[in-house]
Amino acid sequence: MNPVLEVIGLSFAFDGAPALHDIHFSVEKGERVGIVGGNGAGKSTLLWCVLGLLKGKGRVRVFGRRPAIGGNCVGAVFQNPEDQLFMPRLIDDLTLPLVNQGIPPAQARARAEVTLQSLGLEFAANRPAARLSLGERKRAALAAVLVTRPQIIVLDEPTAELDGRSVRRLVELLNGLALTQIVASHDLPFLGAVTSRLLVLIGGHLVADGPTRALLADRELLDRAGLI
Amino acid sequence: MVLPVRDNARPMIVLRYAAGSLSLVAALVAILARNDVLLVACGVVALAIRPFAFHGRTTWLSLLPIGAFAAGLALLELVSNGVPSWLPVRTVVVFLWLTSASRLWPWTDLLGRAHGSVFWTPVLFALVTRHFVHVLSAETVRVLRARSLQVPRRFGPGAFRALGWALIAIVLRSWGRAERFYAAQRLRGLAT
Repeated sequence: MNPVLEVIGLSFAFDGAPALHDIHFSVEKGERVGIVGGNGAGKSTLLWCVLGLLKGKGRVRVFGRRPAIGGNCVGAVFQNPEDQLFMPRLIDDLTLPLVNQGIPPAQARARAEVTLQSLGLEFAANRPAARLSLGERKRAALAAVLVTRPQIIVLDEPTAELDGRSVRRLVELLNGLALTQIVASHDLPFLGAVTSRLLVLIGGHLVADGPTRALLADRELLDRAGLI
Repeated sequence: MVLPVRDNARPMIVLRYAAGSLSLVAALVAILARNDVLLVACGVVALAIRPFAFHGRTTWLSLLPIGAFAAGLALLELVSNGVPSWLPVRTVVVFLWLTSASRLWPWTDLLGRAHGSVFWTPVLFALVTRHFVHVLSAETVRVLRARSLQVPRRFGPGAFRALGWALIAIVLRSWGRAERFYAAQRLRGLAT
């Protein structure tokens, strides 16, 4: 099979301080992969390399090519929704990237409305994102990504600061998406609910790559990774 | 009385356009004014209309950072020249008018009208700037709140050192937030 994402021998250092060491893995179409590790393990750095925002040593290939920033195929949902949403109304936040791609405004708006509806946010279309609850803002950030119809979505700490109900809602949403998903988190129950495969990072090293259920049952590994 | 942001009635939108545009003109006057009396008058009017643009405590609390900046600027001028210029006052007056303009303009209506025109990019730029100012204000409030929890006695031992570190933390956090915001907009194809 042709992987949609290939990472071969990726290493990265921040000002000489190593953050990732010789990472190898690939992701197939439709796979749901979790990246797990304690604080500072390199989860976000790995995601930023995959997205092309950071360039390390080694190779990263998305659909056989170098990651293209601003391209349609990979969408990213950041930990803080305020980093993504800034327009006076949520509907504008969704239509903007479409209009920017040359889609006629009326068509862009229709697509944005359908996306908002599918995420249960139609009531918020004319509100600014800042007026929504954190759970709603996280869903709004996901909507702003999904509206561009990416083939892979990358989520960085999607459950951070969310309450139980909002996490359950997010799990339902992600499980309902037929997309390749890469999720970085240290929320183990959440990863157990939305991913089928787990990559475990410890100090920038990829120490385990296997089925989520099996790795979540390995208490010694989770302890070593600082997750329990 | 604060002009209601969510009132989409035509007269209110026209009123907001007029008030926002006048605020912008006033900011330009404050930048270009060579007459001190005109500058001070401009500042007094800006303070008088501020309650129409802002709610409650934010009306005046939001002036603290720019006030501190202007005071620092005046101090530096005092040390180097022996007498401060009108630059710190001008800075505060321009800030007053620009923040009022940003609050008063009907952004949603403006966005709809600007689409497809030469004003599209400037309006987007203004929106991004406005959003980032909100983000920075929130970070500033968080840092200063953390400082006041750590140093309950404002003038007690270590209070000024804590303030110094708090200001450094604000700069570093702003940097971090700016990087993430820029990265997110690049991924959306809205920045290069």
